[in-house]
Amino acid sequence: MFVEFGHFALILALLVAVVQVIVPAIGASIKDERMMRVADPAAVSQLFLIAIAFFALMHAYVTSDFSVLNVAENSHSTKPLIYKMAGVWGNHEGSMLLWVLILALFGAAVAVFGNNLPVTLKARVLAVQASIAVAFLLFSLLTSNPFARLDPAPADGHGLNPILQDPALAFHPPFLYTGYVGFSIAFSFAIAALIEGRIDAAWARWVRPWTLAAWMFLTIGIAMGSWWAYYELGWGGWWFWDPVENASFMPWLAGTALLHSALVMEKREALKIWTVLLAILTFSLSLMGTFIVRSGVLTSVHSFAVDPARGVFILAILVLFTGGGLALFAFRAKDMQAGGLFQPISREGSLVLNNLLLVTAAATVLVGTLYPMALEGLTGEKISVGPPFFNMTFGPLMIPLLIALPIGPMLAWKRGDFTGAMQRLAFAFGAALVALVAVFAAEYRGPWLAPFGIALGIYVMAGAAIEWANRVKVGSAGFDEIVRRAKNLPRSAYGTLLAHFGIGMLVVGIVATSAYREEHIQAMKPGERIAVNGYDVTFTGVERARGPNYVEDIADFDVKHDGDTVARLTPSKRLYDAPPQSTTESGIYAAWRGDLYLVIGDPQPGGGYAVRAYFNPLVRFIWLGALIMFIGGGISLSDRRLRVGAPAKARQSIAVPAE
Amino acid sequence: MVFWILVAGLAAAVTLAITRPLMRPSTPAMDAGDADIAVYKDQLKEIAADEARGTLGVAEAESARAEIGRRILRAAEGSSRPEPSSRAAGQNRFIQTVSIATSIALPLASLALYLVYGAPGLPGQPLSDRLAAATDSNKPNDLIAKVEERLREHPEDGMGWDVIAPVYYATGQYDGAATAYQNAIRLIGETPRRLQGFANARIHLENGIVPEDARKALERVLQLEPNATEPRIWLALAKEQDGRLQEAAADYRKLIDEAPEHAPWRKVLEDRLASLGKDAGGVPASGSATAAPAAAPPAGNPDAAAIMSMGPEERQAFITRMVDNLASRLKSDGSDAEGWVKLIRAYQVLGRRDDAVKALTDARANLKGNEVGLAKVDSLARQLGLGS
Repeated sequence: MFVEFGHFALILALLVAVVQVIVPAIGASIKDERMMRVADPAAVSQLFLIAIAFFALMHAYVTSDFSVLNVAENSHSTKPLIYKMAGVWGNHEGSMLLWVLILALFGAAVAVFGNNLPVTLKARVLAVQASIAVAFLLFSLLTSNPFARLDPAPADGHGLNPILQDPALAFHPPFLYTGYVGFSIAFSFAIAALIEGRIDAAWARWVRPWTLAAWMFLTIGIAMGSWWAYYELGWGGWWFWDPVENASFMPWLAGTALLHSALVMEKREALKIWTVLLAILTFSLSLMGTFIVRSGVLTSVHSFAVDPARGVFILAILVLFTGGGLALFAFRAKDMQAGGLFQPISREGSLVLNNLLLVTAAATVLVGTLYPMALEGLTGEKISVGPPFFNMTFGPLMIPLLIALPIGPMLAWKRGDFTGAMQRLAFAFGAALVALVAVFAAEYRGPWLAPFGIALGIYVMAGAAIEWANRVKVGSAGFDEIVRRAKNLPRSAYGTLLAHFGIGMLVVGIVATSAYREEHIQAMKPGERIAVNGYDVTFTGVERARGPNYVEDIADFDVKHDGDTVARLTPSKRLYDAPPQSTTESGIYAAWRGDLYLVIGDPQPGGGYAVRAYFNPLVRFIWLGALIMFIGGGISLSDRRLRVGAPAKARQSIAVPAE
Repeated sequence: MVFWILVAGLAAAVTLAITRPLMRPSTPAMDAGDADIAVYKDQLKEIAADEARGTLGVAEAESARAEIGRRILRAAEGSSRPEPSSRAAGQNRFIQTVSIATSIALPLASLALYLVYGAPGLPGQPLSDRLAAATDSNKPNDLIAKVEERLREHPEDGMGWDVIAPVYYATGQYDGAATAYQNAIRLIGETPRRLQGFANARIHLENGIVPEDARKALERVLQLEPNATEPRIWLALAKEQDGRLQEAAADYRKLIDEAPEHAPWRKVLEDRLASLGKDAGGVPASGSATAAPAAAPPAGNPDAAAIMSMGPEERQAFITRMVDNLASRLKSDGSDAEGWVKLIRAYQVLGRRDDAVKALTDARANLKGNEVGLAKVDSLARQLGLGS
């Protein structure tokens, strides 16, 4: 009964969304306040109904109700409870349900918290938001209904792909989707503004925090995915430039640009039209990501052609919202009032540079992702655009971005003092130079560019530290004054500093681990030893053990450093019962200077096992950097004050740019 | 009945909540210009607060204030008071229509759609309920589930495994069948039926190739029942797959000679023998074991078969695609020694040993003349124990 009640709730949600599109939109155009107000209860009801549907499906998973097709295909009675719950979104139908749930959550948040929005704007935003919901609810009900039933019910389910039975991956999709779908708010505001023909002052005040929230979740979602790939796939790699990864990375790049331009807009009322365009593009890239992952084009273009119902439907959604949004922009943008003016060398100017570079980078990734698919679709030829392409195109775009990153915050709004900013950054240049020399001295291996990459990361980190030191007047004020200023510094400023510092760490981690990774592969018999970057690793043996729904061969390694045992690592190979598939579990010893990473392979004919041992220097900096960015975003988000940017007066140099 | 009451209640509550704003008297909405000015006033307050806290200098605060002041002026100019609607009466009628239409259409349409797509009356069937009721019901699936549940708790119950094994086999779950037969043999002893069942399940699982463990089981059956025909047929096939073609042909001939006139397997054996005659002409009688992989489908390995049947699960597709992309890239340009090393290792990790061996051969062919590359590939081959 729960299942059927959830199904009904989902259908009712679709119709509520239809009402939420039509009634407030008409209300806004005939200026009837009552009709506009319908949007609020509609948005809240929609959330309520989709939540009922979602929990009904989750209930079916938890109780192993195999009369639900979706449960039978993706769950198994022996699966641990947490993966039964996570199994809800571990498959196509359930993940679409999660998608609309989060969409409705954001819509309801606008309805509940948007009391200070102009009524017309709010009604239109909610109508646009509901139109996205209509599209995806229809998609769900018509092509991928999670509530399809089976009678009689099969004895047991097929099980969840074991590779997905992992804590990091269980919670990766909700974060990622919150990020993707969060950009729908920016999109809805952009379309509403275009329909209105004006951009209200309240616009940026709303778009900036919502974009920031979406960006945070996307950041941590991508980081979790990469972390999972690192320890679960057993390759020791953390990013593969795979279409699935690119699908989430493109909206992240565009979203990062949007975040910065929305900030300019809130603080300075500049870059208004550009921000609107960027909001449309960012959400379009989110939809594109959904299309790439959910349509089946990934497995192969042919499987897409064999069962085109889903792919074509979601392509139609993509075309409708992207095409419609851009067409509306083309018609209405010229009627919009452009915002404030600024000089090229200014905080605004540096943020424009940031935007241009980020959007170009997103376009690069887009080409690298879609070109192979298009080629396969047209000619049937399968090519792979791997890391070489992205290293050649994406990498060089990041260099000027990172160089400019610490300079931007040093410039004043409206007109900045470039020489002054450079002088203040002297320490950062110094730190980078020291790092450069030190790395060259310590590591003769690896590409010659790598020390420069590490120096660049150090420079970004030092830049963030200097920015803070400058603002609290370290060096010119007394200790008490510094503490007072540090306390008074707005949380939003701390958020920026942390996020920028996190980027620096990320860069250091990426360069170090890519350039200086150590790799050993050899067949080892119990008792044999291998030396990996100062660690003395002894293979003691393999034991078989039984898990809740798998058997595993657990290898045991004794890791010594300077004669002392520092860790026992137990990488294993699991064979799951249903579906019968094997996975590798790596054994990782994490230290500050890097990870020792062990993977056990197949038994070898002459006895012994294939063992792969890696040393990944500073690899944790990658996820630590992402985590710091996430925390920075959270701190900034917790600062509910308005952001006002004070312009610098002409011909007057101001030492410290103000918040 | 309870279900329909809940459905009606939900539909009614939602309809009521949504149409409520339409029933209330209209209150004039805040003008967009006013909303803008409210935001600017908030910004002025923010500047004052920053100034008080000392995070904003006096001069900067002043210029910021001046700028916001200009924005307020602009907003005040642009804002025009809307005329109170002169069509108030007409509008009210329109609202009434909208309100009634929504109240009727929303519940009715959702109910209609549900009747089309839903399965009202089909109760939920949580596994625990089904297991409890299984002995009373005669649904085979529930009975299987019941036995499985018992075996999970008592994996030492050999009779249970013996009962469930043929059921698995009949429903195409060959992996489960093989395991179940194996457990039954281990726990309650060998019988020709169990050994034969195990071998059949294994052979099905390997898409017709007779694997080593199945061959041993079949030989054991012959020891117990020297006159059994079925194991002899499979063993002959195994010889053919091993490339021992002449021995296989001799066995086939013997089996055909002994077979009754209308034995169903007679035709099959004759076909095999005929095809063998063709192949045996080209292949030396002592053909090496490498002839076997040629006959094997690429999915001969259970790991590979599992990966291939994975469906569109994104992460799985991801790994396979990554490897396939690499393979196709190397096919068009085979000069990349690092690429070959990666590919061979990938196949090894995925358990596709045959592909790994083939990639090794291809790599050696492609890297002719590239001493460094060849050395890398060879040392990898030694590490992985992939023959030379």
